[in-house]
Amino acid sequence: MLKSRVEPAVRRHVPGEPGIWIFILGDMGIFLILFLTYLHSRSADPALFDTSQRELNQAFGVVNTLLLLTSSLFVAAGVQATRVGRTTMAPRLFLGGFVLGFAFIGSKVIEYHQKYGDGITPSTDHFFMYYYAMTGLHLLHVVTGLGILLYLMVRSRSPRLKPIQLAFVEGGACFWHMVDLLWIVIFPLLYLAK
Amino acid sequence: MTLTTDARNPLTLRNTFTVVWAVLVLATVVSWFFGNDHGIDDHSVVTTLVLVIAFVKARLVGMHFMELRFAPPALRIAFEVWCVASCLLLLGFYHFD
Repeated sequence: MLKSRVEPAVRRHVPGEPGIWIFILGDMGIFLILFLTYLHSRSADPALFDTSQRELNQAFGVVNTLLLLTSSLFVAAGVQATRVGRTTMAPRLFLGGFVLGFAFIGSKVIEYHQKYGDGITPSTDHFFMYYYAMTGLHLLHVVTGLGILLYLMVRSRSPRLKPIQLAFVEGGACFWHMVDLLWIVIFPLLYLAK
Repeated sequence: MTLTTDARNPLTLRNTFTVVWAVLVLATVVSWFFGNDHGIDDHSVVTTLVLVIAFVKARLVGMHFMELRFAPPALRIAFEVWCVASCLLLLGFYHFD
């Protein structure tokens, strides 16, 4: 039976340290302001924004979304594995999440490189100013998140984690899911909204 | 509490996470399809659609991957308010600004 293999792994609780949520929700608030500022600027000159948007390669946006979604899947599974003391599987799952996150950075570097090669910089126009600001700020979060995933890889090798240590694993994972979540909004906003 | 997550096999097809992931991937492909001038000609309809899809996806990530569906109501509601308010504000700025 499936039920019998279901672990009582998740009880009603705050995932991670409560403090991390002030940071996560605060960060989400800051990005919301950035999203609204972008749409406000766009409304002043939608034709320019649409023309510049056509310079973007949507394939990068899609591939990056799929990379982060899959990375999040690995990390969510990694937390589950950590909870039930799977000390071999959990670090592997976090490693999988890390590799996919790293691939996101690689893909972003190629995309930036192509844009610079075409002479497109943050000072090209308002659209690209937002493009570089939004994706750049997000990329900083990706880099931070990868550092956290390295910590989770090490932490999850311990067989019996104290509640506080498990909370750090959950909180770190939630930060990584936020990075995924923010990209989920950035992708349609920059690449698709016309 | 009923748990549908198979913790021993975190990446099996029966796992809720895997199902959520598949829905998220499908939603991404659908957004891409419509955002690429397929099917719908009206840009404002397309933009509305892809933004609504984005926040449905964001909520799925929060509820399942972040496990907020198991969180105390205050935190879960704070997150859901962000999703709904952000979606409405972005649509408002897009359509009426």
